[in-house]
Formats: sequence, C-alpha cells, structure tokens
Amino acid sequence: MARFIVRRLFQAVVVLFFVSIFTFLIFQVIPDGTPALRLAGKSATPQTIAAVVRQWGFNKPIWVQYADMMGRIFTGSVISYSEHVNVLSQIQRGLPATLSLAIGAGVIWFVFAVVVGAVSAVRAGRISDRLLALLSLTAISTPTFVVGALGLYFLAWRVHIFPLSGYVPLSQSPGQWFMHLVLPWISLSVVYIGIYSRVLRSTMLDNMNEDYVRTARAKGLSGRRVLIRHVLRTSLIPIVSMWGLDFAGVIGGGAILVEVVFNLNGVGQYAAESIEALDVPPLLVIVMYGAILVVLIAALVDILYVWLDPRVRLEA
Amino acid sequence: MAPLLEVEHLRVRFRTDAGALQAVDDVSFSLSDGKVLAIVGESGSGKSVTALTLMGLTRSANTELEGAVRFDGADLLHAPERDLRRVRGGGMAMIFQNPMTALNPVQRVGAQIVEQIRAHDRVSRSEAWKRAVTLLRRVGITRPEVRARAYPHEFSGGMRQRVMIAAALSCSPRLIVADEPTTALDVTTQSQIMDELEQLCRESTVALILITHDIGLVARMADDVLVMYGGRALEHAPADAVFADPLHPYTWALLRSVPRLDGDRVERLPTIGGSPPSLLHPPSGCHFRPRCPHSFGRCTEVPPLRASVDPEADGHPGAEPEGERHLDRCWLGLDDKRRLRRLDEEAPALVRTDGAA
Ligand SMILES: Nc1ncnc2c1ncn2[C@@H]1O[C@H](COP(=O)(O)OP(=O)(O)OP(=O)(O)O)[C@@H](O)[C@H]1O
Ligand code: SF4
Ligand SMILES: [Mg+2]
Repeated sequence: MARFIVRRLFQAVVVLFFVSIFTFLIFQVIPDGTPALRLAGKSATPQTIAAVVRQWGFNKPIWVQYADMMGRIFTGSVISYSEHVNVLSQIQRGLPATLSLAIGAGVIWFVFAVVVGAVSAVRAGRISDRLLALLSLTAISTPTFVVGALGLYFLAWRVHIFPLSGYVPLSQSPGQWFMHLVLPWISLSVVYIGIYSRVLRSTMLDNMNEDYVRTARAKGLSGRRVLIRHVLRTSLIPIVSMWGLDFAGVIGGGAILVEVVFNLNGVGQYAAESIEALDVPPLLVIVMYGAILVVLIAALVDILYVWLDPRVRLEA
Repeated sequence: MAPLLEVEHLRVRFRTDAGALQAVDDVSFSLSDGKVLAIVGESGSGKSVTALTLMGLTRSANTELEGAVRFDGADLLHAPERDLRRVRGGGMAMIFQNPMTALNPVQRVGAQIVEQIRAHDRVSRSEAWKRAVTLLRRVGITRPEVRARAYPHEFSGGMRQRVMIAAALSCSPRLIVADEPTTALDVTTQSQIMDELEQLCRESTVALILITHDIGLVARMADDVLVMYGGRALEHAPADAVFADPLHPYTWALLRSVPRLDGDRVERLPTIGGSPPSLLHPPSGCHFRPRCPHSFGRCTEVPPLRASVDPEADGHPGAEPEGERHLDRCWLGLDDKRRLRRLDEEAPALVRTDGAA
C-alpha cells in the first residue's frame, strides 16, 4: 500500500511538470498577448518598452522565463499585468466562494445520487423507477446554465425565496451564506445527480444477482442490511472514483459558469475576467493551482479506491 | 417424534418471459436430526431450486410456491419473512457451490461470520469476533486470529469453502444444506472438505442435505437418496436400497455412468445420452420417456411416486422395519424393472451412456 501511494504521488508530480510546461507555452503563443506593450501603456516610448522587457525578464531565454514563473507561482509572488496586484491574494479572496460552491455541490450531488440511484434500483421496473429515470435523463440533458437561469427566474426573481446573486462569507452569516449558495449548488449538481444515479442503479442491479448477495440473504440478514451492507457497499466503489474526478474537475474550472451566472466572485470568475482582459499571469497561476488540485485529488481518489476495494490492493 | 424437516408435495413454478417454468414438481422428503440426504440428478433437474426454496430464497413476485416445508414443526413455505430470517443461517444454514463468488469480496471473512452471528444472537462485536475465530480454527484454518482479518481473495478455494462452513456452523444449525459444496474445488481438496464437513455434522448431530453429482460421495455419506429429474423426484429411498436395488431406469443409468474408481475422478456425472427435458415445455407423461429405452404405451401418463417393493414380503437391504420405503416413479412392474435392469447391465448398449469410460 505504501509503495503504491509513493508511486502514485510520483506519477502526479510528473503529470504536473508536463502540464506546467504546456500551459506556459500556450500562454506564450496566444495572439495579442505581447505583454511588454500592454504593460508599458498606450503611448510608450521604445525606451520604456525596453525597460519593461528588462524589468519583467521578457528578453531572457524562454526556459529561464519558465523557471522564473514557476518559482514565482510557488512562492506566491506573481503580479498581474492589468492591475499590477498580487495574483495570490486575488485567488485567496475568491477561494472561499469557490470551495463553498464545489464542496457543497459535491456533497449534495453524491448524497442525492446515492438516494435516487438506490431507490431506482430497489424499485426497478416500477412506476417510481421509471419516473426517476425520466427525471435523471432530463437532468443529464439540461445544460447547467439553463438550470441556473430557470432557478434564478422562478425562485429568485418571480418568487423571492433566494437572493439573485452574490456571495456572503460563512463567517459573516451562515444563514445568508447558505441562501446565496442554494441555487448555485443545485445548478451545479443536477447533471451529476442524473448521471451518478443512473450508474449506481445499474451497478446495484448487477450486484443484486451476485452470489454473495444470496449468501447474505441465506445468513438471515434483513433485506435492508443486505441492500446497504452488501449491494450498496460494493456498488459505491465506481461512484466514488467518478466523484473524485468530477469534484476535481469542478474545482479546476468546471464551476466557472455557475460562478459567473450567480456572480459569486470566486476563483473561476477571476479566471473568466482575466481571460477577457488577456491577463496571462493570473490564468497561469489559476491553471497551475487547478492542475495541482486535480492531479492531487485524482491521486487521492485512486488511493481511496484501493482502500475501498481490497481486491485491487493486492495488485497495487 | 416428528422429523426435523418435512417437505410435502413441494412445487415451485417461475413465471418467466418465455412462459411458466415448473422447476420443482411434487417433491416430498423428510429428514431427521443428524441424518444425511443426498439429492442427485443432472444439471437443471431442480436441485438448487429445491434447496433454496427450503429457506424461502426463491420467493419473489414471479414465483408460485405450493406444498409444505415444515422445519422443526413450523411451516416455512408461507411463514412471514421475519420468521424465515430467524431460520436462515440460524437453524438452517446453507453452503453454496462456488466459494469464489459466494463471499463478499470487500468484507473481511471474519466480519462476514460476525455479521451472521449477530443477526441471530445478541452478542457484542468482540464476543462474536472471538466466536468467529474459534469457528475458523475448528474448520482447520491456521492462525485464525490473523486470517479472520483477511479478505476472501487472499484465500484459496478450499480455504474459502472452509470459511463458508465455519459461517454455516456459526449459529449451531440443526440442518445444513450444502449445494455442490466441492464441485468448484480440486479433487484432493474435495475429499478433505467433505470429510471435515461430515465429521463436523456428526459431532453436533447436524442433519445434512447434500446436493452433489458425485455418486461416490453419496455412497459414502448418504443415509437417504433422492433422485431428481426434470423437477420431479424419480426415486427416493435409503441409500443402501438405491445402490443395491435401483428401481428407476434413470437411476440405473445414473449409477452405471459413474466413472471407474481407479481412474481420475470426474467432477460432473458423465451425461446420459440425450438431454434433460426442457422445464418450459416438458414431455407429457414420464419426464424420462424421451431417453428411456424401456418406455411403453402407458408412459405418456404421469407415473405416480409409489412404493413398488413391499418390505414385508421382500427382504431386500433397503427395507427397514419402521416403514422406510423405497419409492420410485415408473410405470414398469417390479419384476420387469429388475429383469430389465439385469438386461441393461449385460448389454450396456441398451442404455446410452456417454463418456463414462
Ligand atoms: N429464479 C429463477 N427464475 C426462473 N428460472 C429459474 C430460476 N432459478 C432456477 N431456474 C430454472 O430452474 C431450473 C432448475 O434449476 P436448478 O438450479 O435447480 O438446477 P440444478 O438441479 O441445481 O442444476 P445444477 O446441477 O446445474 O446446479 C433450471 O432450468 C433453471 O434455469
Ligand atoms: S415410466 Fe416409462 S418412460 Fe418413464 S422411466 Fe418408466 S418405463 Fe421409462
Ligand atoms: Mg444447482
């Protein structure tokens, strides 16, 4: 197990290395990105531009620039082009909103998916199952922003149950924090609930026919215990690994749309604004931090997976 | 004293997409404490369905059950689920054919036994764990305190089946139903496991229903034999009687297809020529008719299961004084049966047995 963890983490580092090179190069070649011109202002003399180039190191070989940038990313001292502010502090400002959104949605979609999936599996073929199937398929095929817009229109605009937009820190008012996040959470979760519950349903139906489930019944366990401890327990394994990856995906950029729709001022929204302004440093930093998170979470999920399924443990 | 288990005119019918499937058709038997009943018959003859039905494990919206299953005096066939649960794994335990898949792959084997113990007895987790370890030791698992913490895939097939046996024994059952418990194992392990199971049952006078294809095993262990075919009991008698004086043409064929003892033992019964009847569209009358070399006009009617030997008049080995009877389901008269059987033995070509040699 320990060897597996070490190997998996080493893999993660290698992946990150390539991701960093890749993103760095991409931002080198984007058009209209020549940073010195923009940094020096509209009516800059060639001298100022040359000064800027020297000051920011744009004249150095590209691999030195890369090393510089990585160094600054890891020391948190990257400065943005457009407002000359420290990127890290901007990210830190947006982080609570983004994490609240992602973690809350992650929990919601996992819990609801398990309940919906388990109920459909138990009621397979009955009316309730068909109804849930219909709902899930609708959920899967409705784009996130449509859910968000519908929620905003009906539950915030027409009926003032939830606020229209914005984010209130948890420390300031837990109630307000919650109310501001309900619609974003739902918008983000709906698709995942649809997908996960379908996957769980079919996994459970497969597992119900397994010999060990018959054994469990022959031991005299109650139907509910057989279902939870034997059928559900083994059926959760694929769902958990899906969850890890999707959760990482949401943190690593999947929540941008929802953040913008609900004006949560999270990291995703900061990224969106930086894209609009073609402000490269924040993007680089956000992409790198996002990548680190995604890769780390993916590694953690793999480790968790191995822990959940002892059969994999031996091979690992 | 009433027997431990009484099964009367059991019928199990599954409603399937292809139509009604009569998996068990009028099967009766009884079993006393500490006795061994062997159920034999080709694949698809309804042995497993019979066994599962005893524990109420075939119940579903698409299953029709008829007859009676009385265990320790209480009717199980129509008992509420909660009463059944008490019997399952408690008074009546089951061992399944494939130990590779019958244990939950993601649960420690000790925990799987603990779960069963705690489903029946109000004991603490640690108490149950101790019992599980003791049981594992009893079925011959070395270092059971350590092995109890292992997962099924860390055990060999034989060891897993020992775990299943330990679980079966965990709540002091009075009856163990073993459905081809060793078929999936190699030959040496097979006989070891069966020896152990037999001894464990003896020690605690546990009755055993042994479903098997291994006629040698039947000869060694069984008190009674039930021969099943196409969902029906074709012959039901004390084991000695079945071996000394088999009365049903199917049983002759079955016994004659036993591989030689000096050769390698074969896992499954070599097939008898032709194939078992479709339970969806069974032949009319005697189910064995399409394959029976002796069928005659009457065989298009369903023969009754009846005693053709009168134990008083006929002192053959199976005739026990207290009225244990030798039943079979064939229209031939007793004399014809014995005569034809002798003929079959002399001229093996009459009964089409494949793959025995
Ligand atoms: N739940 C079910 N629904 C429909 N048909 C079933 C069901 N369970 C068993 N059957 C059918 O009942 C018949 C008898 O099956 P059973 O498993 O009892 O045979 P068996 O004698 O145990 O054979 P084997 O030696 O192969 O184990 C088979 O045709 C099987 O397909
Ligand atoms: S009843 Fe007829 S067909 Fe059936 S076993 Fe007897 S002789 Fe053969
Ligand atoms: Mg079977």
